Amino acid sequence: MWNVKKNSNIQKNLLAQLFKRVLLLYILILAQACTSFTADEEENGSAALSFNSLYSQIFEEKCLSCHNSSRKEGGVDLSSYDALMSSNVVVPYSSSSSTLFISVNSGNMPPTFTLSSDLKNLIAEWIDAGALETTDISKCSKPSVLLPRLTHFEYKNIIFDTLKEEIDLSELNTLPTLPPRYGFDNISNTNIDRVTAEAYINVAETVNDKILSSSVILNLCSASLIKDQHTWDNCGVKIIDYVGRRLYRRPLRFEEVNSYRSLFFATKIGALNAYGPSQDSDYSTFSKDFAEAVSAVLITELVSPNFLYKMEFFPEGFKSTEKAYSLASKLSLSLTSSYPDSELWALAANGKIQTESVLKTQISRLLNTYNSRFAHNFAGQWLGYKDNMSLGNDDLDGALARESDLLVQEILDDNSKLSQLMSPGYTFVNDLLANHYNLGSSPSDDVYTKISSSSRGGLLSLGHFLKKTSGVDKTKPVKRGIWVLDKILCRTLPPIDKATLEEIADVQTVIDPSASVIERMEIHRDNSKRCYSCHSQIDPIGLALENWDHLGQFRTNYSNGDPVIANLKFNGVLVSSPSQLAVSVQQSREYRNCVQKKLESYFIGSSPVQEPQCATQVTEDVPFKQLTSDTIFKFLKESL
Amino acid sequence: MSDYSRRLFLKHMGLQLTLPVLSNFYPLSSMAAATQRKNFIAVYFPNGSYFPTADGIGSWHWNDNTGVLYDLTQGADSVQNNVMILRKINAGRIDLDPHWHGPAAFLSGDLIDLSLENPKCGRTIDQMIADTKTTPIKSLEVGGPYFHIHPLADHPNYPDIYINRISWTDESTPRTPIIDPYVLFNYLFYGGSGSAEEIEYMINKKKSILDVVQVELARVSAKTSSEGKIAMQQYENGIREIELSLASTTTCTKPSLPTNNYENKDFNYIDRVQQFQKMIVFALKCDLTNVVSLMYGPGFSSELTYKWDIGFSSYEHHDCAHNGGNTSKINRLLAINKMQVGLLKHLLNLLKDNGLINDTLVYFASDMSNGDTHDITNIPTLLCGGGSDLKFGQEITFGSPQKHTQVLLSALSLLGVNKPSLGEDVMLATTNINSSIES
Repeated sequence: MWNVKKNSNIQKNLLAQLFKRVLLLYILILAQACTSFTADEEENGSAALSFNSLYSQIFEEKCLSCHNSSRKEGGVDLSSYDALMSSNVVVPYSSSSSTLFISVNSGNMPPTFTLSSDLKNLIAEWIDAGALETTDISKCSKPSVLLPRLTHFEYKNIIFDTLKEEIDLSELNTLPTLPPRYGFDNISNTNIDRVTAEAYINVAETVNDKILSSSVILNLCSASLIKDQHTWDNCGVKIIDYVGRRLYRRPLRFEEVNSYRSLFFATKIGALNAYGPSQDSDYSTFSKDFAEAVSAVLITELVSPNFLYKMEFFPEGFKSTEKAYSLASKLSLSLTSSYPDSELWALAANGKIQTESVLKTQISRLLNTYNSRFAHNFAGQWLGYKDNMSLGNDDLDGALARESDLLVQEILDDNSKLSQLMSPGYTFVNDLLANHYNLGSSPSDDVYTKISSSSRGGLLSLGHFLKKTSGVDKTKPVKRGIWVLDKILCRTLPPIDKATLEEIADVQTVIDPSASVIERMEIHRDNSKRCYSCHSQIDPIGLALENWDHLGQFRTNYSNGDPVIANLKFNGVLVSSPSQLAVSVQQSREYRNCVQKKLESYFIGSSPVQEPQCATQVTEDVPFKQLTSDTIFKFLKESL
Repeated sequence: MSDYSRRLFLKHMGLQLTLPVLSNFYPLSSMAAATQRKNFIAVYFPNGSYFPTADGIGSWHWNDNTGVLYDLTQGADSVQNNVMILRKINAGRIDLDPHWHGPAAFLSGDLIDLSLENPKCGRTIDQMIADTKTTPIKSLEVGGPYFHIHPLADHPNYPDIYINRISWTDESTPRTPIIDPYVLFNYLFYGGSGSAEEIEYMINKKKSILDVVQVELARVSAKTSSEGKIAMQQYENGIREIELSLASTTTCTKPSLPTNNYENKDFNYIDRVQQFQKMIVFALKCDLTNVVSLMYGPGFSSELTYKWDIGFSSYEHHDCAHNGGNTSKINRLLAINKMQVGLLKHLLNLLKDNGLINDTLVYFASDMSNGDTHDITNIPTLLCGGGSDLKFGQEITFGSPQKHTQVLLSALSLLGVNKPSLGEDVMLATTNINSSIES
């Protein structure tokens, strides 16, 4: 009997368990269905802005008979996304510049019937949203993990900050140039070969001289010590540690100090044998053998991979116990181009830098305190004026570079919006520039005064860019147009292939060299579809800027008396002057997204030609400082 | 005689009679191979010369003073008998911009890889020659005088590295040229002045420093992923080359230290290159190296006006090449060409004065002929050296265009390296031009 009851209970339990499992299974199935439904819905909702949707709704049925991979009527192939983009008939974000939309909108295509307004709008909408192949962000590639090198600018700043004075470090100019990546050298990962290694050693020997001559260094050791009394313990290790932690952006490790100690003593003995005891060195109170020993270690530190490579940006570059220093150093190098200052260092030492609120506060503080360095390094490279910053204020190129630099600093200081980078309403002039621009006055070449101006000061009216993109005695509107497309809108023009070269050669034969600028450009555009696809983007910009001559001075006529005329549309809007162009650009999301892309390239080394659907969309006109803070915070947050 | 039948004897007598007859049709000198040289110097100059017509000689001649090569033939220090002009040499591919493609293919004949992430070229012939040498310095790369960054550098298809390098160890590793004479001096002749003990101490100190750096490289390498390991390995390779070069610095007589200011790339241009050339020749003489590549400027060279050397001009070099028929720009281009050919003359005379001319082959060429149209046909090309086995002092005009890689194959064979082919795509060469250049 007992067995029967027991069996009944067992059966009930089994049934109960079975029921629970079925219920659970049902819930899981239901959840999956909802997810699928949501995904489908999302897919359907976003499909209108992907190539596949256009293909299935328009191209496949209405266009592919002529524009397929074999026939390619008019050079246009709509059979795939890559084929379409290679046909050069789509300008992302600008349907008004895209031959594809222009053709269908005008009724020229398809040739035998007209597309409905809905379908035409679909094409325009797709192009204006960026002409994305897909909206699937699950496959967004991450920036390559590379080991970046310390730039010459960072090298210089670290030495300046270590010695607390701006000494002459012109020997850095003998170092091989660090080729920029995506326009920025701080993410350059070029390896150190023999020549570069030798150059670093030569520079280190000179920098070592300056370190040992510095009062900051001398003060590390007791003033009561005289020649021959300096030892590793009472002086040597202090110098080596003080310099080493700043160069490496973290505390020195036990094994490193041990190596340096051995090197110190070995060199000291060698120097004693070579020069004899109690010899004077070039460095005030130090004896020759002591100076040689410390020099050997300092030179080692100056050529160590821990100094010359930015290990903090590389996995395993810093130890797990050094994580806080790694974060502090990433932040510091990004915004100040130097090692963490004392406040940041303290926060790294106590680990507090690894909290979000502290990190945000420090980002804000560094942008406020070191805005000149950030402007110099980021904007200087982005806008191409950095090299000219070393020229004198009495040199036009030097003054123009400073004008650009001061604009960016002011935009940061003022918390101004991205649109104000284009139209700030002011510029900065020294005496030279004031005369050059015929604009206000300034006491001298060394003093830059902020001057109100409705036409000057924005990115597209900076004298630096206007002169740099001109010839010796005339403007080059095509070069200016390409610069703006590249730097301000992040548009990539297709490479010039053999067929295009041949078309260019053909078109050049029909262009009358005595025709006006605007006429020549028109013939160029109209005579070749290949030329049109690029020049429809380039020419409106270049022509709109023709009021600025080759030196960035304003004009209404060319030197031959012809009036300066611009009559083309940029993004569907007529731009007949520099200010109209500036307004059109500053209102575009493309411009805002481009600034974002440049910041991302600078901070994390991402390519400006990443998958379009993965690009961060800057939908509002935010302050430049805020965009910068947000971008670097997003990047550093991963290290918390 | 019994073993040597009369028939056989007469047969051999016939051969003896026949040989003198045959030799009249086939001069012996053309059958002998040219003498192998010990040293190789490749000299690159950018932007070509003035060629108003394709396939013409333009200003690239020495017939009279309208030619930029004329000065080679003049004066007591004439080097006409040490120079061979080669015409109808083509280089490159029409759809690749020669400002990038030209320097990269200059010694390799390889196509550039248009990828910003991963610039690739090909192993160059100077490195192939260097592989056969056992000198302390494997090869010397000199020139510049600056690293050209093109405004469209972040155009995703044309990385700057191609403009600035003519020597590549392998497809991914360009070799950096030394651009400062002081740096070159220190590199070749480390130790400066001082007693033998002091110099020995300094060398040992430097070696000790390098030892500790190598330890740190190994530590970093052990902890990082492949990308980090590659970077550390490259750095370590560079340090090892420096250590090898330290071994020989005490045995050679040094030239005097340069004295001018070379900070400004456009300043003291002629003196900079002459200093380079003096030190190069000393390095060859001292057997520090046998292989040198020298750039008279990077591709474009648009930051060079040479105004301190050949008079003021607002036109920079690249602008002069793209002269569009402008007479002022053409004249300036000719002046620049003459200046650079003058530097070649300086180099050849140094080689002669130091007894190295017969043992050295100099390849002197550009990346294009007519810079205005980026023409890659009929590239201005000179082979220089000494010896009667090669047609120095002559102009060789080929009946049909030859590839520059064929010239490079000849250079390789003259330096004792026999390769069946060189280059790729339209530049692939499987024959050399020895039969045309040998006396």
